[in-house]
Amino acid sequence: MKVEPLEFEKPIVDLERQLAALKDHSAGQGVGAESEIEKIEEKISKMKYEVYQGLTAWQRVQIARHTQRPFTLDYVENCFDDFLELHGDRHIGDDDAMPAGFARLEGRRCIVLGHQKGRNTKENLLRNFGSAHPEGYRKALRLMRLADKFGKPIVTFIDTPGAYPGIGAEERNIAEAIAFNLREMMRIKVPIVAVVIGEGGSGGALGIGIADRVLMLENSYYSVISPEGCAAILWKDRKYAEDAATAMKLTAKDLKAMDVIDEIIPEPLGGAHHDHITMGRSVKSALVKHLTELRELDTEELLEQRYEKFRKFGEFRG
Amino acid sequence: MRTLFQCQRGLASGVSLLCAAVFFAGNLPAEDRAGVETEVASIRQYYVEVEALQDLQKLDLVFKCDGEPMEGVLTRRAKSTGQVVRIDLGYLEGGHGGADEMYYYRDGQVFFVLVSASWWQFSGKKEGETIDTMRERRYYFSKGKCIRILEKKVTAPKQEQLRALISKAENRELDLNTEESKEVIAEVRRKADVLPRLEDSKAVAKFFCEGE
Repeated sequence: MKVEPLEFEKPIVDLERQLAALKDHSAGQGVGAESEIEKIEEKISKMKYEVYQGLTAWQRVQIARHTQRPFTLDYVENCFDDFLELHGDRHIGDDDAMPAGFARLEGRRCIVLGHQKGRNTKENLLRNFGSAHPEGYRKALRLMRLADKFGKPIVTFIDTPGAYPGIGAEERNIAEAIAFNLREMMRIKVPIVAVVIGEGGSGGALGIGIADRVLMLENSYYSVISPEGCAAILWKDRKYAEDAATAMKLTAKDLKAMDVIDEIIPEPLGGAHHDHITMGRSVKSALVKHLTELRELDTEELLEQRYEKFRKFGEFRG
Repeated sequence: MRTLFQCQRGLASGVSLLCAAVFFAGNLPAEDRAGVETEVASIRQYYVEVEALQDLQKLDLVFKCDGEPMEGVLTRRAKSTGQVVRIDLGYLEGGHGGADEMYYYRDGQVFFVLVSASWWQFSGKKEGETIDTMRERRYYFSKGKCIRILEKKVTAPKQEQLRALISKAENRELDLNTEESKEVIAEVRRKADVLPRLEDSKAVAKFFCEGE
């Protein structure tokens, strides 16, 4: 898969092109250019290290939105077996922005669900850009209740710019559907692990985000509003999105420091979109680790810890 | 897509009554109504002229909004002199829908706009039941002023049925003086004025994503 470079990656891509051209030329002409090749390779490594180690919050937001980044169904394929998708919320209909179903993780049956984005126009029409309608949240809860009934753990993948704010969604009570999920997820008696894999946009993310463990990929973000939305409100101009991203403390590192999340899952160099398989392995191993730990807790401890975890958000540490 | 002008040809030859537009010109005096008809006839002629133009320079500008559910393609068609004669805009918005818009220009002024939007929604009556809708609006402009809007709107349980239905649907003339019409006309005008000035994907994204 050819990866589309982001704006800040372009100097690296230019050097890589130069290197490829030099290698071709040197092979074609039979001219030794080893020292020059070595120099450029060294320069590329150095540049990659500098760029990727020093990513700003805004650059991480851009990586989190990369269309070639692995989405929920990629993780389902790379981390789970025997996925059986279930459809419908038993009220209104189905929502393709929120695929959900039974699957096996290391042989153990669980429920897996998450927001699903599209990579092209046709997919985005189906997946609504990963912005779920009330049906998505109600379907998610229906399946979580199934998991509760059968004593199976739940894994959720969060990747949404936000729940869909359209007229139809409002008419069918999107806010109520999310609020209901928040309350009900707090009461579900089986372990829940949520992973923010890309965008963790506001209530849309929280609607499947009440979990015993909340993990975040290194280049994902989790926040009450998009940086563009924040900039538009605070500075009346979306061009300040970069400043907003910094001020909002929305990166995995910031949120780990504030104990909002439990673990940061490292990504391959340059971001998860460069290597889906390695990223899938890292996510799988984190899921197995956390679910194994959570299995040791009895129901009362599990529910109490989950409740306490969310109650302490926003505590003032003077 | 059946265009207004295909419908017009059908009517002229008496072949297709299905394309008949229902023109009710409200309380316009007879002479004003006649004036509008003359202008509409000229607009139709301009349309045919633009459609017949050969060797236009075509430029596709793809755009995607970060943080907003919207993406699409804007296609500019210009004469070798650089004068834009037609702009096609196709986009997908969140909420299971999108639109195709076509803007026609003569001497730098918009004279005709066709907006074809389609979307689906749940019926709310039976689980999983959906309703697909397609709406076409045709805007006629003369000397910068909107003189007529025609609308066709159809719904069906399946998206594949919409094309056939809309080709048979009758046009309804909208009252230009309602608040809603005024708002829609202002928006179409604004877009028609700005679109020819957007010459690269960045500018297109800025306009659609940031409203600038």
